[in-house]
Amino acid sequence: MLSIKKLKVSIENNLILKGLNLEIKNGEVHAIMGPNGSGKSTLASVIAGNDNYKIESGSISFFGKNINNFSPDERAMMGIFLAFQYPVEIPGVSTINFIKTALNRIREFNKKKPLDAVGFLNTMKKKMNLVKIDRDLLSRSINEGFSGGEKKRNEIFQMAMLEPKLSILDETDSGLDIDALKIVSNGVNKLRTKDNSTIVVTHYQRLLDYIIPDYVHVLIDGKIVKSGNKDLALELENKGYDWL
Amino acid sequence: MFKSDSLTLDSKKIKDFINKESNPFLKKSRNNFLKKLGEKKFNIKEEYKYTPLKQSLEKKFSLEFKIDKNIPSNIEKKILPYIVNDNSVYQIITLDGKIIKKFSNIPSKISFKNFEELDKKEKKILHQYFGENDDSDSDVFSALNGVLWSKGLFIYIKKNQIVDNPIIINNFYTSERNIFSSQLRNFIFMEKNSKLSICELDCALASNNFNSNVTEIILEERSELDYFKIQNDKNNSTSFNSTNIKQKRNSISNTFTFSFSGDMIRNNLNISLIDESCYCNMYGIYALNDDSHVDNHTSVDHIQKNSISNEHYKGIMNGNSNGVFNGKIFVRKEAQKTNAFQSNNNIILSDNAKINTKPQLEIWADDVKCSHGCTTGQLDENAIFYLQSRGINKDKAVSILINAFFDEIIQKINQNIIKDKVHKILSSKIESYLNEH
Amino acid sequence: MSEESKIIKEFTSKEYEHGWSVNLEADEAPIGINDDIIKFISKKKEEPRWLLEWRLEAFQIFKKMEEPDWANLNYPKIDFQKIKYYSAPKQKKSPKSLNDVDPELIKTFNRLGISLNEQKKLTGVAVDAVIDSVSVATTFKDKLLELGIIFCSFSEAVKEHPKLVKKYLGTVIPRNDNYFSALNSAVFTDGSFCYIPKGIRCPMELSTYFRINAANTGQFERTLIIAEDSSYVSYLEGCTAPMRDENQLHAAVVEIFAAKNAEVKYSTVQNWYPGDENGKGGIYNFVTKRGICFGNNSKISWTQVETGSAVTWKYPSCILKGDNSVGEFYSVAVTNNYQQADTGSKMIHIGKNSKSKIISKGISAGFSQNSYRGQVKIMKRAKNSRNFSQCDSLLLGNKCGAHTFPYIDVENKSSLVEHEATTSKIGEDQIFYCLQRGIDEENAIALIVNGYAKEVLKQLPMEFSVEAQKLLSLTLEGSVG
Repeated sequence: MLSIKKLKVSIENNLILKGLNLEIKNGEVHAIMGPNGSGKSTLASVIAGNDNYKIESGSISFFGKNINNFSPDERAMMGIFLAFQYPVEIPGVSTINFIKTALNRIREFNKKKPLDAVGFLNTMKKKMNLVKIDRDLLSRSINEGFSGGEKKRNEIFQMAMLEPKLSILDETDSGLDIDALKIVSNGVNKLRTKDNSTIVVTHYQRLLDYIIPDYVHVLIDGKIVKSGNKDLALELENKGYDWL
Repeated sequence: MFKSDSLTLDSKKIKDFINKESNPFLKKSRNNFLKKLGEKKFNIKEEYKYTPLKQSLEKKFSLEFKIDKNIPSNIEKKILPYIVNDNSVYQIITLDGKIIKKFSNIPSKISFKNFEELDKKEKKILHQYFGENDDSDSDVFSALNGVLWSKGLFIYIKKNQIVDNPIIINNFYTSERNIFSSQLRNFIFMEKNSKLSICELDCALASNNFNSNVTEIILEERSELDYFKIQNDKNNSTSFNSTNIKQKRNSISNTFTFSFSGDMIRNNLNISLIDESCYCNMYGIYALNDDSHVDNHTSVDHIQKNSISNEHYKGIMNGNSNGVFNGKIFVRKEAQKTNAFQSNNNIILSDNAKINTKPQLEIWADDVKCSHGCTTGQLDENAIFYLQSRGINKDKAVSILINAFFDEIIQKINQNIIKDKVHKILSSKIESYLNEH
Repeated sequence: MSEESKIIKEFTSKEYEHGWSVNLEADEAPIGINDDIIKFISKKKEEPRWLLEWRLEAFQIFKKMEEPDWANLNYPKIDFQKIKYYSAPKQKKSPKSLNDVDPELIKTFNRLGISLNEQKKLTGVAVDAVIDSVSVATTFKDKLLELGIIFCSFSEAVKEHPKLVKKYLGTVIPRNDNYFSALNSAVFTDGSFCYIPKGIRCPMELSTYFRINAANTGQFERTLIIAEDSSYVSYLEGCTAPMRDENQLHAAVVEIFAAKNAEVKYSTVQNWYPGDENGKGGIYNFVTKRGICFGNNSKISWTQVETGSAVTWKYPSCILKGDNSVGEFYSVAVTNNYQQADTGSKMIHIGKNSKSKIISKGISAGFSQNSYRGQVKIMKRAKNSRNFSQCDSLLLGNKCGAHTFPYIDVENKSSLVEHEATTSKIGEDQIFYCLQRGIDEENAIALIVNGYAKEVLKQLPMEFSVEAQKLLSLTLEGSVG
């Protein structure tokens, strides 16, 4: 599904990713772990196409297509979803209206008919349960005045609505208490299928107790220095990153 | 004949005055200002909307020039109580602008003198920058000052020079009745990496004093200036002030303007951020009662990118006083990534007090963060009640709340000696409020 | 970022939708202004003597005044002798009913999406349609009259309800109030008149639709709304003009009088021709709008969406004379290309416990200049008054300007005034967030801008709100980044 080869990425002339390789197949869950400043969030943003970052060399392919020069919305339509570490507030734009606009654009791309109001509301009701999100919250402006937990749940709710092929969860656990963490993880797990893949970017092992990864990669100084299965995460938890 | 509302000057007397100027450069400069006066491009109607000139000038203004003399003994007596012996400050005493050396403790390593004492290098700086950095294009009094100023301070801080202690200048004005000799024009030039804290205290020894004070300040790369102005004049004095700062790359200015009394006080503060990455803080307090009228006009001009300006003025009006605040922020087309903040908070304590405020934003660049906020209200009755319910009497409660209101600004003063001075004046001010209640 | 400038380009090339004109045979006054022209207008309208004299006096006042120059606007001096002050589409006779209205006129309005046919769709809205200098049709008149509501053209009101007109005309905005109100008082030709009797809630939206059609013609309409004790009315105003190379002058006056417990809601969607992308042509829009909350507990609320005109000079205001009276001003002003807008509001608090609110959202794109200018004045008598003002500006591109000039004058100690203003651009993070969800840049910008203006748009009646949102996206389409 996703194939990253020798990726070098910089921001304002600082090289952040220094030749990174990553292969993700259908249905897999990959965890990216690493200390602060190792480039985890950069990786998430670059896959989503944030143009604040510059790709110096290397390639990102999605279903065999090089997407280096694709705009963020093209990537989104192809099925890449980024759950933001810091979801953005957009005053005056209701969450429902926002998701509806996004969903219908993605449906149009996939040559599906746009959902009418009834169809949309029905889908919404189903998915709301997944992350236990409140209807009132969805009528409010996107993320405006949401608590940290509400913002993260809203991200997972949008993920449920848009049904992406590849979901990237960027530090989704940060700022969540244990109950919220369970709700969010539960949502993510329920959305797992044999076709969809997930990248979990996290600093702590905690989240991986709930979202069990197939692979764990350790990212240090812009490179993946070690890969393994979920046991690697536990090892990191005990030993820290220094031994690597 | 020059006329502006009720201000009338005799053009022959002005010409005579200019002709007495012995320095050819300054003579030329005076004539330049005279030309500006003649062009009359001043928008008096808007710029003095809430400070009617007629009222403040009509009864008092006349043209009369005073020649410096020795200090009369009665004046000396009046000055003496102000003089403090504190080694942690440089204290300067001026009398109608003339440095009184016997009472002054001038830092030895910097140029700090009256204009007639300049050496060759200092003259060169003067010729390069003097008279080009003020607001005389827009303010009639600054232009007038440019023609008629009689004395001034020349302060020049060399590259890498760090002035260890704050300089406190006590400006005494002796002239009674509208004498133009109380027009001062100061010039401060700070070279790269230099640092200076300076505080001006104005004090009119005579009643009905009129003074005008224009200061030009140039901050070269990475220099840092703290500039304090404390006005606690006699209630019936009139004062027009204009402080103009030009900042080059990475320079920092912190200005504080405190006005506590005065019949008619006008403070112009203009900061021009002509290079990238400048930083300026503008703080002000006005605490007024009786018939005081204080008008603060500030402007900060972001000309190049990445600069930050931050402005906060707070005022309390009591009695029949009138506060005016006009804060302008300009962000020019090239000044992308500018952050400019302004806030103005006012409390009116009496039914006859007034506040006129006009926070103004003019923005031509898109990638900026600018905001202003402005509030006018009263002391929080609930807070007073809360304090009373804890056994604090009402006067004390009011005093606590007023102190708290100003504290935010006072805490920004990084020189303890100045902080103490402001505190003292403010406390006596608050006391006088309470007596009136 | 280069993407941004591309989009800005695209945006600025968007064309004005209502730029066509029709060939209507017109009855016109000769060009220029003098006593004779005023007499000509008055005679055409078969006005009583007092009104002619009132006009002539206004003209004397006008001649003594000077064109104001304090606004942040830059336009060549208007030559008032080169304007045509009266142009009326020729109709056989004044129409008794809609059946008598020239079908060409009805077609004109249909093309603008305004149906003058009462049976058709706009059942909830009564319309007064004004072309150039005259009102051509008013719908639902009879139905409203059953409730005692008078809704008709101004000329008709002069004939049918002279006492009311005489009592209120020029009381909220005197002739000498300003340069353009003096001019309007001398040469106004038509407009709408609306009277809501005591205790009546007007059951439908009343609306006036203004259209400038003839070339070289100024439009000087005059609207007067009187709401008696405990009445309510919601009033809408829309306007368009054909694309012409020369600038045309529009100088209207709107006066609102609200008695005790009355409430008037006045909404405008102003879409006059803004000129072309090089700033050629377009309407000069100099409008004086003011309401007085005369009685206690009365309320006047202005909502405006300003997207058109080359130059806009407009400050809908409230005089809050009654105790506990309420004034509101909600505004979205969008400028693009070379448009200039200097707009805002005045809230004059006289009555005790009076409250006012100003919400202004400016959006500038292209080479335009957009200014908010406002005044909040709390008089000594206005104890316990409150004002809250929020003035936000959004800049799209760095060739435009956004300016804020608020004047705040407080003269008593028990009142509370709060003013906030911000200037910013659309956050890159907001755009990226939308893009990441699959929404393309243009839609993302439309979404964000509409969200930004939502507080104001939601004040509009339903049909207008949808219209305004479309207009907003259209005016800015492609121009944001």
